[in-house]
Amino acid sequence: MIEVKKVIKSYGTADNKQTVLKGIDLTVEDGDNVVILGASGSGKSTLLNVLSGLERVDEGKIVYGDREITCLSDKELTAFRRETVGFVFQQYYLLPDMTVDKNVRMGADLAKNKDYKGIIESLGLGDKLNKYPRQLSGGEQQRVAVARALAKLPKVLFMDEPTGALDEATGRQLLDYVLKLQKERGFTLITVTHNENIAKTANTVIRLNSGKIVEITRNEAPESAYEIGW
Amino acid sequence: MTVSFKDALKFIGIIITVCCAVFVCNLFLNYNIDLNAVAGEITENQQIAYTAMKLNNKVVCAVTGGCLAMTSAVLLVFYIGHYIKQHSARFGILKALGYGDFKVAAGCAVFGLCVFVGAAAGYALSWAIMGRFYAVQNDGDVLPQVALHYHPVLLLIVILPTVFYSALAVLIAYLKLKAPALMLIKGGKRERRIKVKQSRSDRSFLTELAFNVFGARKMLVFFVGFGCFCFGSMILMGLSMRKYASDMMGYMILVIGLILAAMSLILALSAVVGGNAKTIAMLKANGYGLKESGLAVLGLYHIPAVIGFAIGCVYQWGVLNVMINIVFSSVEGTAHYSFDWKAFAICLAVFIASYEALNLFFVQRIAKTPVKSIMSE
Repeated sequence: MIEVKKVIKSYGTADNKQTVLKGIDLTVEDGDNVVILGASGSGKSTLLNVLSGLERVDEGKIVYGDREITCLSDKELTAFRRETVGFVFQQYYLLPDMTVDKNVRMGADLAKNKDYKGIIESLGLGDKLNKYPRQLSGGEQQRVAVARALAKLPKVLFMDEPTGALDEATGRQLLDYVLKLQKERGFTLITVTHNENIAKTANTVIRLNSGKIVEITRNEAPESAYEIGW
Repeated sequence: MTVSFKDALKFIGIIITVCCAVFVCNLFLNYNIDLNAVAGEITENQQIAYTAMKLNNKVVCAVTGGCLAMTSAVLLVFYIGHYIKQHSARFGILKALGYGDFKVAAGCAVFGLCVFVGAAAGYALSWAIMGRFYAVQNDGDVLPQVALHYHPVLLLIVILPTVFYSALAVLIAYLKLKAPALMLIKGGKRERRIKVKQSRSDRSFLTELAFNVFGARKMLVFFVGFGCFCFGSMILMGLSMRKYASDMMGYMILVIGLILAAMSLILALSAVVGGNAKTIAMLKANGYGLKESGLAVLGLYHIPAVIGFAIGCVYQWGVLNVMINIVFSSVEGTAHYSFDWKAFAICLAVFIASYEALNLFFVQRIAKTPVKSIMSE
């Protein structure tokens, strides 16, 4: 379970301070599929970054089970990310001079996952193992980024606008694969998006506005990636 | 003007190298010219020592000055390439607005100014110790006393490099800016020919990454090797020269060696860490530790460092062997040169300690690379 208590996060100096998260409280159950919805500038990406330990909070607590990550040292936080978190960025951030195989091994080696090629295969990239990111389309690059995150066998997978740069068909395909795998493996999935339709695939929807949670809803009958509008 | 003087001052590496080159050349050339004035007073017994001394002056100028001049030319090519890459969008916009390649490149002539600053500093510095240098050279009765005179013609070693390097800077910039404006605006990355390269599946990710980082920037591999070559050759030569020439000469070579080595290594390793900031941030985001990241990014650079140091030691042995055992062999009172193992042991210990300290410093820089830097595109 992830517990977030009164989290505040600001940027800038004292005379030009911008508070992006203004006292966030929430709880995410293990194995939940959560979508964080909000307009641009609402603080959803910052919330994802602090939840995943990519950034530190100014005030408040984030607790994973019985481990409070907000008081960890840099070294401990790195170890936490290594053991617990997978991350899919909107802009992929693949290593340009490494093949698909090696980009995915970046995650797989951390978890000593020898079967990572299965993930690449199931994402339809089996024939691209030795291709470089610049030889792939945007959709293929995003699938490599997803494969890299999944190959780490994370307990919590964070996705920041994973379909933001993809066309509808590729976006649905990618979402469908991640959702199926999430059900199969039972990891916690937290996705940030501004796309209301994607929220229909989640169990829990958190709406964020100007750095505050305005609504948390439970979705009793989540839809599949091919049922939602786009 | 597209490049400010402040930008040019960032080329501190070139300033220091040119300063060292002009410093050495002015000292020895000035002395050599004054040495000509005593040619008539040379006795038959002094003739060999006189010829050897003149040869020595020319060799020091050619070897030290020449090497330093070539180094600064390589540095200039590297720095300008790096500068244009960093500011490619600005150059691209100028080109898109209709400025010609040559007009934009001409702004880079200002980089010649940093050569002037370095050369002028070296010239002034050499005059600051010229009197002491002559006193050391005149010590003993091997040759007649050489009087110190000012030779305006040697101002050319300040003027000519400035003109030459300014022209070289414009030429390099012109060639680099020949790319289409749109490509420069997008970051100056030329579409590289994709090499069909089978990546070794048995290699772990970190091993593959280490080879990738190492192979991607051959110029930096050269600088690391060169820095360690300077360290090995000049520190060892400086320590040995105290016995065969003078303390002053020994310290001079030692200090120049240290400056060159430190500059090349800092330049190369900071470029490695800076150029891989995004990769480092990705490693950290995924949970790779500092030790793993440090080894992947900087680990393989130990190879050129060790090779450079070893070649440097052999090189100094060769140079001193030729200079002392062959050129000066006929000068009475000159000791026979043999490899100085004690100096080598000191040099090796200092080299290992210094290189590892520098490595540690840059590993700490890796630790400070913010994970957020990957998201700031």
